[in-house]
Amino acid sequence: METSLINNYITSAKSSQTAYSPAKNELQKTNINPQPKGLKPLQGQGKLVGLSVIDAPVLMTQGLAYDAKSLKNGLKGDSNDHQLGQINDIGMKLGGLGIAFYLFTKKVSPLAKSMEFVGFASFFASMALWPKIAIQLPARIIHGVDVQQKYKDSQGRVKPFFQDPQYIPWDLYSEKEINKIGDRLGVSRDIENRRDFVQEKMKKIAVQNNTLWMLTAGFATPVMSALICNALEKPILNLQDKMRNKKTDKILDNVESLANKKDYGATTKNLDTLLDLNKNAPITKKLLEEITLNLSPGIDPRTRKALVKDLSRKFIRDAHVMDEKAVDVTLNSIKAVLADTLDEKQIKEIVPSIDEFKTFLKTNDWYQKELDTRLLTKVKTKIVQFITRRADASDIGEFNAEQVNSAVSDILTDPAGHRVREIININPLKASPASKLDESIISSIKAISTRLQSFMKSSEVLDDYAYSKVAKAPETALANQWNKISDNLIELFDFSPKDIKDAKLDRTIARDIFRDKIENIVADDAKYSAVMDKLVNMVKGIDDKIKPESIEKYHNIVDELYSTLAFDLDELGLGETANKFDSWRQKINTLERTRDLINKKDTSREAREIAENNLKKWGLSVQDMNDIIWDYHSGEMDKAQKLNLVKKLSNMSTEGKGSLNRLKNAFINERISGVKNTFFRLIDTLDLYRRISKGDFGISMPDTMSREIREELIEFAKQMLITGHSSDYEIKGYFKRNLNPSEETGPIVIENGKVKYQHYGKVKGVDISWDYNFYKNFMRFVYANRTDDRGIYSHVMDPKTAEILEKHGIMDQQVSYNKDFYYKIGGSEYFQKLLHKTADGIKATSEEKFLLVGLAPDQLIQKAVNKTFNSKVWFKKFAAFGAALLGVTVLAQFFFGKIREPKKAQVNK
Amino acid sequence: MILSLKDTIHNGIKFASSSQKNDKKEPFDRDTLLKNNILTNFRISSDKFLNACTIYPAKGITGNKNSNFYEFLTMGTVPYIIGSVMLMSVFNSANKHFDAFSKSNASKFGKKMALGVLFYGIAKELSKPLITQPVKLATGVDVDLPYAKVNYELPDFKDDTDITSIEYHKVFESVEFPRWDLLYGDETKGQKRNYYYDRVAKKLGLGSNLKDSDQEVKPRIKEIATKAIAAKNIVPYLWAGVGVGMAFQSCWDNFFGIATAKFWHGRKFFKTIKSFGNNLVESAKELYTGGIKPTKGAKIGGKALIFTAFIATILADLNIIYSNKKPAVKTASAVIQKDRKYIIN
Repeated sequence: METSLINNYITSAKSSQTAYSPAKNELQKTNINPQPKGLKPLQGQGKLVGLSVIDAPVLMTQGLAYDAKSLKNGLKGDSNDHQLGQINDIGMKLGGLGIAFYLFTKKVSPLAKSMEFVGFASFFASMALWPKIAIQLPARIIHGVDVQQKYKDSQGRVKPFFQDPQYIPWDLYSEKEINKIGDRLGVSRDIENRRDFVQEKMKKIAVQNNTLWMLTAGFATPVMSALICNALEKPILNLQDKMRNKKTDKILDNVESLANKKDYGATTKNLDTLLDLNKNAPITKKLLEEITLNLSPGIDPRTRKALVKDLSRKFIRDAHVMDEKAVDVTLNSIKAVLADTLDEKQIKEIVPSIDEFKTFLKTNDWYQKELDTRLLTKVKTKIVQFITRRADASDIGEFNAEQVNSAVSDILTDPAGHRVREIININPLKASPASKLDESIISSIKAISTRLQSFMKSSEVLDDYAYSKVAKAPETALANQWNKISDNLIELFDFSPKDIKDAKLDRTIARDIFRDKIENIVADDAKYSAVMDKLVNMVKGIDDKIKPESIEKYHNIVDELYSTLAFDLDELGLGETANKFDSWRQKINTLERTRDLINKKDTSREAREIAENNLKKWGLSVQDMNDIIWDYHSGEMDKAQKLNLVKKLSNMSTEGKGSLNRLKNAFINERISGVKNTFFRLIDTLDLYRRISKGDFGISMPDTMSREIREELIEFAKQMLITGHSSDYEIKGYFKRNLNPSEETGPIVIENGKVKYQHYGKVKGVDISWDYNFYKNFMRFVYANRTDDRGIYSHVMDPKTAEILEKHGIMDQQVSYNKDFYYKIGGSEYFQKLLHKTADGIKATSEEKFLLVGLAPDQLIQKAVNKTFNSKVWFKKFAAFGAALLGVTVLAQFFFGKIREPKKAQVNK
Repeated sequence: MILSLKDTIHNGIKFASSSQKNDKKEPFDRDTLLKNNILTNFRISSDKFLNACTIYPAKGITGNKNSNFYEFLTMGTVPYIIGSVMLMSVFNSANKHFDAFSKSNASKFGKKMALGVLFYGIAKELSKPLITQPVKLATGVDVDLPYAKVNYELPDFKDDTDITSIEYHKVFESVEFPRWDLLYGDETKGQKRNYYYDRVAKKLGLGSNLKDSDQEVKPRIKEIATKAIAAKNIVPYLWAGVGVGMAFQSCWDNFFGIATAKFWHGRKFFKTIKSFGNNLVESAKELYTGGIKPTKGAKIGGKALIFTAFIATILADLNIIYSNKKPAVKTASAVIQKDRKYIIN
């Protein structure tokens, strides 16, 4: 049996008590533990603190209040040890919050920002949770002992009960509680000093568990924290996405009110200061450049240049004044140029004094008068004559007098190449421009500034919308949707862990695995329907997040904003600047061209079709178009009517090539297309494989065609769809074919979705650059069914695919994509394969074509594979580690608290 | 068997039977005040760290009856160190499995994270003297003054003679029960009994040659110790934040590009150290300015982090050094009021 220390102590204390021995009668009076009066200890107020969930908020509040009190006392120097311990916790959390706050400021995307605080919270949560989950709970289940039991001492301080094994306030546990724990620990009921033994056992379990806690916490906390963050990342992203999207959707309804909140106070102040400083100063180009910099920030340099030009035209008159400054500069320039040939005395003799020169000017009524260019030439001639006369009259000689004449004439024409440039770099006679920054010009400039600022404010609001929806940045609505779809592709195409591991190695391997999966899916009707349905539904999700009608609304607002600004600037006499924003005059020209295309008999079918579609897109009928053109040329419109016409034309902004309006609209369109097109291409890929698996080869591959060529076409189409880059499409594909194909016309053999090639691949082959029909057949096979006699585009699609696209309401978009692909990609020219074209006269920019091709499906899947692999490998590693650690921690506890039981108490029979 | 400590210490009574030789020689036979210098601190830290990794966990995990709170607290270093390594591992160890692009990005972040963990600990430890040293200079009170405590344990078995253990504590570790006794001089060795308290009293401006300097300065020392410990429990964490902030600057990308731990590659290793120094300075600048292409927040955030730590340190030092409380010096007349009735039990 273990020594009962307390009993030993009591025994020895009783036997060796010498310091104080109360009289017998005193002992009798007090009966037990006699103590002198006044030394009686206070009744203990300590109690065990329960773990009730209901008490948790109260305990938490009390804890916070105690922390605050601890801090206050600490700063005053009145804390006790327990409070100082609490301050350490506060410090640790404050430091952690500081780090989270700083890293928050460094991050740009909302999720990354949030995750800094999630990381902070999860770390502290893990520190608190690990001992509860891995230590306290198992110990309670295994032994029935709460090793993290807390108690409140008499001073109200909450402390861990087993904190100091050498001082455990056992008196807080009642006999009944200890006995109950003893029963749970399996301690025999009839042993001597059962309570002592149970306590010893509880203490041992607590000490062992506390040590285990210390040994495991270091491993557990970071891993647990990382796993918590990992688990929370997606829900937080979804929540933020929803909230942000909701907020963004409201922007378009409140552009005006949001614009009013934008602050341009600093810009206005800067402009006012600049204008004040230069009030009544001559207006120079340099001054106008400075003014435009402060008119409205955010205007691009090209537009600003146009604005400077417009302002120069508007405010600078081509006239100058011969005032004090001009007189001074002119005389100094003449002196400087003559210094090359004459000495100081001679110069003094020849060059008139200021007063003499002023008198000369006054005599001619030129002094302080505004002189236009024509008059200024006369002034120059007279001055040259005046100086020459003085030179002739002097003793410098005839030859030198001629030199004077020539030099003065030169310098008053252009100082370039003279040292005089140090004094002035323009004609000295033009030193004082006649145009001054007077009140009326200042107010004009302020009016322009007000108009531009009002535009910029609204434009900024629209930028906020576009950024949040589609910007090339993390966590925009578009980026989130892209991630959502690409993340789901792995599951959708049923990639096993082995597939993921293999596919991540190389694009070719990824392609082969992906192709194999597609071929298996398309061969099975049920599988195909399920996969296609999910895929189309996900693509449709882009429209749910970025509603086409909202984008339409965005375009309308943009168009009106730019058109009206352009009109107003036009009215203010800033035509060149107006054109940079939105050329409404150019739109009239475009309308006129459209009218011609529709009316002219020799217009090609494709061009007419496009012209008619454009008109439809602009929301105009043929009658509207004719009316607008008529009204514009009638020249009888007032300002309001003109503005109305401009508004009518605002939807035409996409045709205003190079205008800022077009750029603004193109940005959002191109971003959306860039994402959507990749998925439309994936749908096309699945559809093509499906049609091939069903033996549906369309009109481009009649049965009479050589089987070998048909096989080549099928393989080419399969490869191009799954791997083709925009450069591959640009060069019309590079595909090795048999130069002498077999003429055999047997049927294409298909097994389980795969084509069993009878000819293809049997010879090395070359790329046949002259066989344009092969290319045309390929484009028709994949994208278009040109059986229509009128030559109007009709799409080609598997019925199941069509059904699913119709069901989700994106059939139109898919067809429109296929059509664009057929015409714009197919219609592009490649100098080596000039006739490899699906249509003539179709123009598309490189960017448009690049966006149409999108990301190749095999690359898309490889990116998704890599992402999945990365997160899985990380998760697998640390989740396994965490689970193993938890297992070992729990398992170890089964071996805790082993103490041999003492002998049973002897019972007298 | 329990014996009175008085007997064991002063009368030389040993628990061991005379026939058995006690091999273990403890460096101290009684609680001993130690000097607060680098050597002592290094020895104490090494001893504590070694014990925290070996003896204490062994005792704790077997539920040894002598395990105590000191050992539990000392073992707190273990999760600190393991946790730091784990934190580095969480952000780095899986990177090698990633594809090249992801690996490069993840490694960049992972290395900064590891550096952040390192800088957290370094900044936290290095900033502690920013509190204690000015206080020591201004008041003469060294709140980190260590002492060795001789701890008597229960024998583990019948003839166990190894019943002492040494614990390293600080004199002002407990502000409620500071070890005042260790601060008195040993008059038998010719030391002045109140030498310590005299020195503090002089520094605090309470005067020299005070009759009971210990009684005069103890309340002030207690106040200083309490405030200093409170400050030490907060301010270093703020500097740790600055450390982490520095670690997350972009300039470290250059360092990681050339860094090598292979010290036998002389020139390269020297270059690494030089680059570390340069980037340390650069990272402080970047933290202050917000670095290249800073966000609006980062421009303010870095400055806020630095100034909070800096101002907190200054305020904490001033708060510790200057006391609002009136000095404890009181005349007898102020204590005993003649017109009042006193009852002595």
